[in-house]
Amino acid sequence: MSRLIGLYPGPWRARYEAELRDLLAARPPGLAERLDLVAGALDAWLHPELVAPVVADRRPSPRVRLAGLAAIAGGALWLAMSMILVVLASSGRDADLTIAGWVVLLLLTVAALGATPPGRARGVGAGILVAALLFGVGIVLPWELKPLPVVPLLLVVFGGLLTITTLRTGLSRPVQRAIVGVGFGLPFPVVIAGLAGLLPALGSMPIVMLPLLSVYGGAWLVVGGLLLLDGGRRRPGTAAPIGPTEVAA
Amino acid sequence: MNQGLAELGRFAEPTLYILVSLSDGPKHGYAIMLDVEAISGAPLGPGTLYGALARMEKRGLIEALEPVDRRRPYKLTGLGATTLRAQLEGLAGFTRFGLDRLRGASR
Repeated sequence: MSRLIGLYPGPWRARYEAELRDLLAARPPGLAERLDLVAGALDAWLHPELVAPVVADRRPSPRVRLAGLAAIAGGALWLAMSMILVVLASSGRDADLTIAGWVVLLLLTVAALGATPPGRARGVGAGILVAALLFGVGIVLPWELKPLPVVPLLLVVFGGLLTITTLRTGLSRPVQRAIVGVGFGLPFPVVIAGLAGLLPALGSMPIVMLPLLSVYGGAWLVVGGLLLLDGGRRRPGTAAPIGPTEVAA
Repeated sequence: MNQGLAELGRFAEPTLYILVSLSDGPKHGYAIMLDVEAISGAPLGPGTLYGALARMEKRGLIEALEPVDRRRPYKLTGLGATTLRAQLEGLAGFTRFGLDRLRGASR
């Protein structure tokens, strides 16, 4: 029977399939009804205007809207922090941006959790919490006692948050991979430079550091904007079944 | 069948039956099918039923309500009720006219 319903065009099935299946379950069709279904499918193909094309609801849910706003706020703050840090470092000064760093981490966490489908949010949230706690332990320790992986851990956490959030957007796979590459790929030269003792030298070269850190913040702005614009759909054009008012038009 | 439903072609007669079926309240597809069968004495195929429902929705004669489980009820709109009344009055006039002629011929 499903094969006969499969003869109908997609928009028609999106609108009537559930009802028709229910009707056929209540009253299994004989030969005459099967032929009537075939004729009905032919009629549906000949008159596509009878059922309005399926329109995707692109309005973001409040949860996704919050994720988009948090991503944009986090990305903007990251950009501001980067500029301050690089400008000060280039003039030989230092700045304590720990609180701002925590705010960025909080905003990006909100973005990632908001962008995660509700059923999976608990697991993602637990992973983020563990990473944040480890990072927090590293932050509060005196610089001399800081465990080596603190900075890499922070960057991995940021990259992971960006990955989780990016997967929720309607971007194509190659673009998603590019953004994830920014999240994970760009910070690592900084880590390697830090481990090699080159970070102070890098800090004194704004022309190198600023674009590096800006691209990362920019990626968050793009992801946040997309969440707000396309409703956080996994694929563009993913369709929701149309409601009665859309059909009656 | 007057001009209002004639443009529906082979779906004109099922449409009239469905309008009558919905005139006493909303019904879902299966209930309409059983009711039309009781009214007309002939089964209404599922393809014809949903072909007619799609046309009726498109013309604003009926309105789909929120589904209950998997069953979506349909109700008559104001336009649907007006159209049904016009159809039935037209048929009643035609019936009277035909009966009068038949009586005249038998005298």
